[in-house]
This record gives sequence, structure tokens and C-alpha cells, in this order.
Amino acid sequence: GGVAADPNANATRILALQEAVTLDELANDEEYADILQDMRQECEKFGAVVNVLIPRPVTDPAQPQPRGVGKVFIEFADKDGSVAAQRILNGRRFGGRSVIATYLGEEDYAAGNFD
Amino acid sequence: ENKPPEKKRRSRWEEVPETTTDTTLALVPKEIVIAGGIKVSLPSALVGGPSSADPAVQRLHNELKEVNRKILNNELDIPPEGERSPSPEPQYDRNGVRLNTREVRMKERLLERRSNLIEELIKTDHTYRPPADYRPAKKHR
Repeated sequence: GGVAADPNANATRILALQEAVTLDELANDEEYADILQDMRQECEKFGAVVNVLIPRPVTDPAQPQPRGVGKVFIEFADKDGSVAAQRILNGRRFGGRSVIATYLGEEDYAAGNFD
Repeated sequence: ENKPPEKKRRSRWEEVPETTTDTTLALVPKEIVIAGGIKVSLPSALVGGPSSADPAVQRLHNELKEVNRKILNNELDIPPEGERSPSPEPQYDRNGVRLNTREVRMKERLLERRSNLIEELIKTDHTYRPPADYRPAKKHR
């Protein structure tokens, strides 16, 4: 336990959603397209969306998985959008799973530090 | 193909009662009291929200949420000095960096708890789908 931290203290324009998607879904072209669409449509309710980024898994087990596989990244035009989305999407179910919505730092996002 | 781009497909996002225009849905209570003061929980399919009404499954969901939150926020619940049990022998890697610090051990404990909870949910909640990063724990013989 501890002091309740201000949830928006580390807010950025970038939202990272965990637990939302499975690797099987991402591997399927049709499901992947549907997920992209569901994410964009929902997030545009909170503010202008610059980009929706969902890394896809590689099928060759010898290859390392790209960074951030299993997560969904949403880049909003401004913080107002990401903060509103974080509040509503965190804990909400997507495909039956409770989503965890956190912020990703601008530098990490730009550098591809998705883990 | 000549399909219109706006085909009607249900979003995977769970409906949020506040934004639904269907007011009858938003007005359905989660619990009703019938004659004799007996409380009855309505099926979750009707009221929305978590898929299983089984309180044991609900507890698993809630604890998993809590464990996930702790892992994300790095809340390791390290007991204050004096209430700790003895530390194991330190282990070091090739460069002499300690591997099993208290933080690492507590985090491993949380991750293990998370893994166990997911395993339980797979068994008890058939609507539950494990997260993408979940791998079944290797069973030691």
C-alpha cells in the first residue's frame, strides 16, 4: 500500500492498452483489421487519433517477437484525448478481457520502447 | 468485391451504460429485492458487466485486477524492516550484479500469483480469455 498517486501525473498523448488482444487474434488478418477498426472508432470518441499501432507477432518461432506484441498503442493528437480515454477504457472489457490502460512516454514511443 | 465499407459489425468493446441510448438497459439494476426481502442478482448477460455471477470467479477477476495494478505500479508490498523473514543467500550473475534482490523476489512473487490466477480463471470462467503475454507455467516434476 501507499499514497494514492495522481493517475494523470505521468499522462502523455500515448495510451498503451494491455490484456486487450491475444496473439492468435493478431495473427489472423481479418481479426487484426477488425481490432484496428474497433480501437480507432472507440478512441475517436475521446479525441483526435493520430495513429493506432498494434505490433503483430511473427509466426517463425526461431525469430524474436517484435517489441510490444500483445499491446495496443494509441497516439492521440493531444493529452485531453488520451486522459479521457484512459479514464474510460481502463478496466473496460475488450473481447471479454479487462483492459489495462496506461500512458507511454513520448520518447519511449518515438524510440519504439514498447515493453 | 463491392461491399460498402460501413458494414455493421459489433465492436469488441464492452458497452458502456452511460453512452447507450437504450435507456431501458441502463435502468436494469444489478440486484432486485423480491418478496420477503430476498435479494436476487440478475444474470450479467442482462445487466452487462462481468460475465460470471459466481462470486468465487468474481473474486479471481478482482484479485487479478489488483495484482496487475500492483505489477504495473511497481507496488511490491515490501514489509517494513523487522517484519521480514530472512533473505535467501544472494545470487550474482557473471558481472557480479546481484540477481535476487528483494525487489526482484517480490516482483517474481507477484508475477507467479498473476500466472496462477489466470490459470484458475481459465478453468473456472469459460468466457475468460487469457492475455496475450500469458504462458502456462512449466510444471516442475
